[in-house]
Amino acid sequence: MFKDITLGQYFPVDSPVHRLDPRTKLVLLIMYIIAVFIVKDICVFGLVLAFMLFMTIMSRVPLSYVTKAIKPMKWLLPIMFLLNLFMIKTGTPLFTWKFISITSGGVRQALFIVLRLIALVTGASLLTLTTTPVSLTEGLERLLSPLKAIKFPVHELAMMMTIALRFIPTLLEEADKIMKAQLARGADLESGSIFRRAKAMLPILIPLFVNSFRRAEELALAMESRCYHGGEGRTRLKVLKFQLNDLWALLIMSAFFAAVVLIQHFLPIDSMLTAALKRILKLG
Amino acid sequence: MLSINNVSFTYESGSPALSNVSLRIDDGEFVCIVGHNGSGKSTLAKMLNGLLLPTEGTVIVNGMDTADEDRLLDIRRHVGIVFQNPDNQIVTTVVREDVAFGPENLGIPTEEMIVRVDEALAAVGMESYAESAPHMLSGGQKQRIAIAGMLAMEPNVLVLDEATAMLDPLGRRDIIRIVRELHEKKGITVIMITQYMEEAIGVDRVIVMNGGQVWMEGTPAEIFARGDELRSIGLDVPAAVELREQLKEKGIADAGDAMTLEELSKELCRSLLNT
Amino acid sequence: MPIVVEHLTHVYQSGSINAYTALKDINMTIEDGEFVGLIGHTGSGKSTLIQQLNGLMQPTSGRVTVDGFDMNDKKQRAGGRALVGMVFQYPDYQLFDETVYRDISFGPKNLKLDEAEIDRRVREAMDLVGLDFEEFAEKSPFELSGGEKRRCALAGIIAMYPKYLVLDEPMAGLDPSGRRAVLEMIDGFRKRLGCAVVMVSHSMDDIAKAADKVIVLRGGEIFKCGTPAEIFSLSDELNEMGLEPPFAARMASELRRRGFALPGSIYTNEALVEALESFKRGDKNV
Repeated sequence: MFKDITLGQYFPVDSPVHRLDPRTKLVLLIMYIIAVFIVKDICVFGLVLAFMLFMTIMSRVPLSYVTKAIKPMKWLLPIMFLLNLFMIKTGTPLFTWKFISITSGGVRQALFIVLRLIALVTGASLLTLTTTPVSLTEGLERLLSPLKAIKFPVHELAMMMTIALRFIPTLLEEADKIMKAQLARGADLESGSIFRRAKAMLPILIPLFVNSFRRAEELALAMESRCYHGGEGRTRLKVLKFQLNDLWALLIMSAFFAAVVLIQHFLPIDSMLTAALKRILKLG
Repeated sequence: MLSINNVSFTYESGSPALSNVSLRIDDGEFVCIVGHNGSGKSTLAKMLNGLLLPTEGTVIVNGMDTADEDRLLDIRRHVGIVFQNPDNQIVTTVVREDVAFGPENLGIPTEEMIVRVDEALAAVGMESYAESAPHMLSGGQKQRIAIAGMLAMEPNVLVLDEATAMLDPLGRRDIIRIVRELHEKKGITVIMITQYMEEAIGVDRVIVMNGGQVWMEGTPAEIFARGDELRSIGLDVPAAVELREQLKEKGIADAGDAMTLEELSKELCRSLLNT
Repeated sequence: MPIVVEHLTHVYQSGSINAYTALKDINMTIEDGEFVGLIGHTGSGKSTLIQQLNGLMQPTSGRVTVDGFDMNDKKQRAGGRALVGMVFQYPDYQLFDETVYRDISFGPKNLKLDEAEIDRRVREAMDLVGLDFEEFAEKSPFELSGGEKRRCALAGIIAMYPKYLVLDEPMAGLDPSGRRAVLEMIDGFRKRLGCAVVMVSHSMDDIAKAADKVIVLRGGEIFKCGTPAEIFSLSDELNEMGLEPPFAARMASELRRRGFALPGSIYTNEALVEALESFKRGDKNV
């Protein structure tokens, strides 16, 4: 029954974004995150969201899949918004009633927090939607490989991630079978206090752990038999290669990044707008 | 050539698994090792590529001692082992990459590796599953991938440590057929460890293990002629041999040393229909 | 009262693009005390079907009743489940407690039996599966050998006194003497408890030795249901489905092909030997 689960949330279509080298995508994500934090003006943020929309369209992943990532934050976002709205007391007061006051700085900050969170989450989500966990692992391993020089266990970490990805479906299936075996012996997993229910899980958890240890032992033997001796001297079947596509993606990203920085530093759109807003308010 | 010289082995728990075993397996031989659970046959398998080292005695693979740590990779490249549980041998999430795992460890250049992986997958008839996820495959298919993973290291010896025990009859038949083909076409030495007597039919030599010792050794015909002795140590004989024994006992027909359905039915025609 | 399966259909991930029909309109009955062999190729729906028998899975449509308990009804399910003992293929999925004794008593405890009764049943179950009480009761189940683990797992179910015992590949991975021992044990339970047995096995030879009735599943449907003699006379069809008929049945059909006049119902060595014996006598008499 668990055989059909797909790991992560990879959306299997062919698109220029899917075809990008995982290293490129990781670099793009990092640059994108920096850009999201550089932006201080609400209007420049439009540029960030536009870029995000552009990448989504290029990836041929339905927008609704990308925005799904926001769903788990449906409580966090309003709370963050309201907290900032009422707590920040900078800028001009827009509304005052007894001890409650809303300032222009508060509105700005509240909007910013929410937009930043949305931008970050959808960006990361687009990466996992267009990249399989396997190639993501590969990308990370290659990208971090310079860290080997300072004895950081890059290969070992990547190997662990690979094995975890390989065995998660197997373990889920096994957990299902164990649960059924114990249910058939009359195990009651659903009634009683939390403590009782936690205790009732033992007949499932113990076989699962015992079997996992045995699996690990057997896997270690199998890996040794196949001459595994760590990352040293290993070659790879799949060699990651930068394509023309990757160059284009990096160029577009750089252009976007430059635009964000330039507008942010040399075109004070935001202060121009606030000035305009103040004038309108005064006129009113 | 593989030689096992006066090997004894005791597990840390103190229970002896092998005592004074000596065997010689020549290049290109197809040997079957049978024995009941706990007869020491799996311990013996793990000795063959240095996963376990003998407490006493030596194991020599192509002139290399498995106790010599510097030669261990070389030994393991020569002796490929396929284990019982199909789930616990596949390391990565894509079939092709898993087959490449051994060659990757050996540092084979990528261009050569691609050729080896494709050839290995073709040899076990799994080309069309190259990009599949292992957990979607059947037990028999997983074992084929495990065999391909060994072939990609180009071993001289293939050891199957009860590799068919967890498979259904079709999966089992496939594995046996593939292993026989590899033996015939590529001349690979095969050491098959099993408890299914049917699998021993047609091999060059059968070694029967019992209580950590070599209990009997001979051609399948010689071994299966001693049905009562085999049964006394918890084994049995192939179905055709069992029927042959019963027919002989009742004085109905003497079918000589027929071991398969085909052979037995021919013999019966000869003696009962006079054809 | 029997287990009755009526128009049972099971669809995995019903409604999605991955929807997969594992069982289609299954109708069958498991009578009291009967030994039913369930055979089919991997993927024929066997394991889905047996999990329906004690309500571990519920059908997409249709219904299973165990002695009148409707297994679709959440409230009645526990009552039915208590009658159906289920032994899965690998004992490692079941064993968990500190000692063999405690592990075997897990089921009976869940049935809310009193201490004395539990003790009596654990001892009896251990005796039936051939685990010596003095030697094994206080051992950890994880220290047992493969064969002993299987016995312990069986005892854990037997101690619940099931009226129906469902066994999923109980002999898989055992050596020949282990296989014989399990078959003998099952025979022992039937004599002692009078329970019905449903056994899933790939080994037609084992089914031929034990079953009163054989059900063959193919592609989620019942291909044929009948006595072993009826089923195993379909040697060629079974072969085509990737199911190897018992050796004696294959041998008999090969001998018939070669000109022996043998009755069509042979599927055990004993019957074949007997038939050949009378064939020989008849031949000589002529």
